[in-house]
Amino acid sequence: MAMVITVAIAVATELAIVGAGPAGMAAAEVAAGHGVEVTLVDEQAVPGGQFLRQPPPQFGVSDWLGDPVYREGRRLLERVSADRRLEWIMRSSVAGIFSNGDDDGDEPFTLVLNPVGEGDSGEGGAPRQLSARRVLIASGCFDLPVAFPGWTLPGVMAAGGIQAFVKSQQLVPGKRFLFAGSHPLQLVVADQIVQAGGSVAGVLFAQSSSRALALLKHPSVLLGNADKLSQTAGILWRLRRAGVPVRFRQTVLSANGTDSLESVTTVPVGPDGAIDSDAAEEIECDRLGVCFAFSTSSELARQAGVDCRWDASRGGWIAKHDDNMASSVPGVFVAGETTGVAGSDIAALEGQVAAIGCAAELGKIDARQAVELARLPRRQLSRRARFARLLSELAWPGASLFDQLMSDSATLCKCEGLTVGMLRTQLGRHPDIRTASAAKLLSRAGMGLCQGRYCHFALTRLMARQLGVPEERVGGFTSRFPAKPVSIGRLIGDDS
Amino acid sequence: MKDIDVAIVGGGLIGCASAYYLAKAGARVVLLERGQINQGASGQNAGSLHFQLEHRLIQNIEQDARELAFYVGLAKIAIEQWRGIDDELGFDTQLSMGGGLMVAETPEQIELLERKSRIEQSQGLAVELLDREEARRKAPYVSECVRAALYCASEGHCNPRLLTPAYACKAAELGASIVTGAPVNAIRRDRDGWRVTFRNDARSDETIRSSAILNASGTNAPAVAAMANLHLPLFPVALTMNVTEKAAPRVPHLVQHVGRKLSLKQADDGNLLIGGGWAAVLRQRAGRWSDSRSPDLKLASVLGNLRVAADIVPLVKSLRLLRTWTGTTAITADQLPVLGEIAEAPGYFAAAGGSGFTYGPTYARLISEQMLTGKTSYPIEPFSPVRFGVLNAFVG
Repeated sequence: MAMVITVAIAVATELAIVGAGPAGMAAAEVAAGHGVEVTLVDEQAVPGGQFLRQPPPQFGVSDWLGDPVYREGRRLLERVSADRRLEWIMRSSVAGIFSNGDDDGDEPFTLVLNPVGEGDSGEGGAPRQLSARRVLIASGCFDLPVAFPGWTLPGVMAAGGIQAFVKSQQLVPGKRFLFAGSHPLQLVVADQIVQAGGSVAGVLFAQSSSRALALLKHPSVLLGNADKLSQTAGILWRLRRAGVPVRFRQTVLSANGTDSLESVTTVPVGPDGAIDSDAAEEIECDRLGVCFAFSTSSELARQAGVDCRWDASRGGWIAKHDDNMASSVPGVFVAGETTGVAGSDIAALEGQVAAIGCAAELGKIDARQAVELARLPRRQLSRRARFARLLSELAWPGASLFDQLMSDSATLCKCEGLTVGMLRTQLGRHPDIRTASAAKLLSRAGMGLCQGRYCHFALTRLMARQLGVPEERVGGFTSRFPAKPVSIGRLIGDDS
Repeated sequence: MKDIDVAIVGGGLIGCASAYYLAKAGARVVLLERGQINQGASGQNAGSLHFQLEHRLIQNIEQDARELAFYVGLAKIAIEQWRGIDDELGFDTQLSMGGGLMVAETPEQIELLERKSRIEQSQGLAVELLDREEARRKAPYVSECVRAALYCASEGHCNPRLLTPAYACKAAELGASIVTGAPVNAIRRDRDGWRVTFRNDARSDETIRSSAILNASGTNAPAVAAMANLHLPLFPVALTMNVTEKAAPRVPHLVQHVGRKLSLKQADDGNLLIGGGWAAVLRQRAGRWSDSRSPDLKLASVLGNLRVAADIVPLVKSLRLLRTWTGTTAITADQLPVLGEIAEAPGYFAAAGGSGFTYGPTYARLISEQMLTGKTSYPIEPFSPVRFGVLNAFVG
């Protein structure tokens, strides 16, 4: 890859793009095409994001992501990787975005960078700060952590985590897999496991078969998404051939084992959404892939002051934006899953629209050109957005399922060792506590190293249910600097 | 007949603790909190118990010597009260009174320590000046640049997450009514008391009649005073706090600096809390201060604060910064708290401002005594809002 920045302590750019997944890469390509000086920042060593997770070069993988669904993404990745106009700061996350105020007109934003891993600090290490005239946050999403008894046991993984192993390492990380959830991604991952030679005990969908497979019956919605249709059909056919049962109205009640996962207790989900604990079954397996939904990585956007709203089925707190993907903070744009989980093709289109908006604000193109240029991606976006919305609604099992899985013995916050029961007791003692931030202050939930990424959904749900109010009223944890823990020595430039 | 004896406005430390002391004495109390209990400065501060005169107070030590002497006297009764606080509340508030050091790096700073220690000792506060070796012996975690330290054995810290809710619980047990999500929007004089109107849970206005009002609304105190046509000159200031990841127990003391802005301590959970009065930026809306969101963080404050911390306690450099946060507190122009009845408005009391965590329980106890009996066990006249009386002579 060209132009990887590794030496300077502080560097400046016109457009800083946080996240080199489909949204960030598409934005970079378009912005650079209009003469914008672009710097991409990403935690990974190589671009692609979660969707196009690349194997390390030394693995020499020949048929990496051979499936046609990845074709467009791979082409984009190849183009931006070879694009000498782009600058890259890899293996670095962004700990915070600071506005320099009106008096620092040239580069109104400072991004504090947080190099990933050890041994790359100090002289010759990655830069510590990046100043920018515009910022695009395309920080993606992660698998929604779902709290049920045993979910923190080694062997219980997010389906996305299992997929990351298979995609990047070409490894099957377990002997016998079970998948439980409600999102079609679990079919994709089960299929990848089977293709890589692994054994899958089953794929459990919490919803009915008609609901889970309704996608296939909506040709009007699928118009323009025939690639997705053919992919789903192919996967189902391959799983059937491999003898993998795909069951509906079934879900996980608990994960069992002493030191690591040995079995999973499953239960039927009734037509009213109630789980039937009396009809529990036990399935032996050493890996459970959990795949209900995704949670936006909105911490950085919220830390920067971007207004968000709650939409559970689209990822929790999602960044609000206008038609140009501009957020509520002037100069900060958002694209991709940060604005609501909708998949890689929508992310890429949003990235293009955001890049056009940035180019216009930076004076590289005029307003009329911007409208003209954005017309096509906007049209494609509105068509695909319908499909994405339908997908997220069909994939969403309903909040009441999570409420039922969250029994008192389930861990709520693993960093602070807090169970659901402990939090319920504390909230019972303090009936006046009515917001997530107040509950955090009371219980320490969300104060650990993960910064609340793993417990905020469960805590928000628990409180919303207990108080009988919508999640929006409970509010999120206030997102603070740094978005992820950062070494103090490195931050102040004194690693001695 | 009034509905209640006291309406407390504000669910921070002073409000909740006052609700407890008043309810314990048998008063009928309603506490109205616009947001959540402990949501303001009481829960946002870093929990220092600093009984030595702190950095902000000694910038003009010569002119302010008389007021400062009085302030130190308050420390003695606060220390007493803190020692009994867990027993009184029947709750482990993670109180630690393992001592505190205020360090100096330069000859000028050492001289300031000496001057300040004379004021403190004259008021009977036990402080001990340590030289470099003594300081290093007592606190092996401090760096070579520490050349002297003033040690106060009673200093320490308490967990701000726990203290105010514990008071609120205890007050409720004693019959005080704690109402959250209840912004007060009007305070009117009644024939022999006050009518307080607030927005209730059902989003409609509700009015209660009380004999007395206690304005304990911290940064919002001026606005709550204005509802009764009164001036209360408190000013919001925005501050920055930092917390590191958990570490093995190394720092049993509260560490402050006499010449640089630093407060540092290790919480029971192992995290190091680092603050010391570094500025954040109050938000504005339509050209005025707005407290609808926490203040904006200034990168320079974070870096500056961590720099001082790393200079004095080098192990900080090896830790990760877990989180920063900002909060707003309210101070007066003379840096002393406001504690007492507003002479122009009988029955309207105020308690706010100035080291509100360290002294919050004491302010609450004293103001409760005054409301209940008209007298206090420690004189609070120098803190009385009467010193701003001229402002209220013209509004009425």
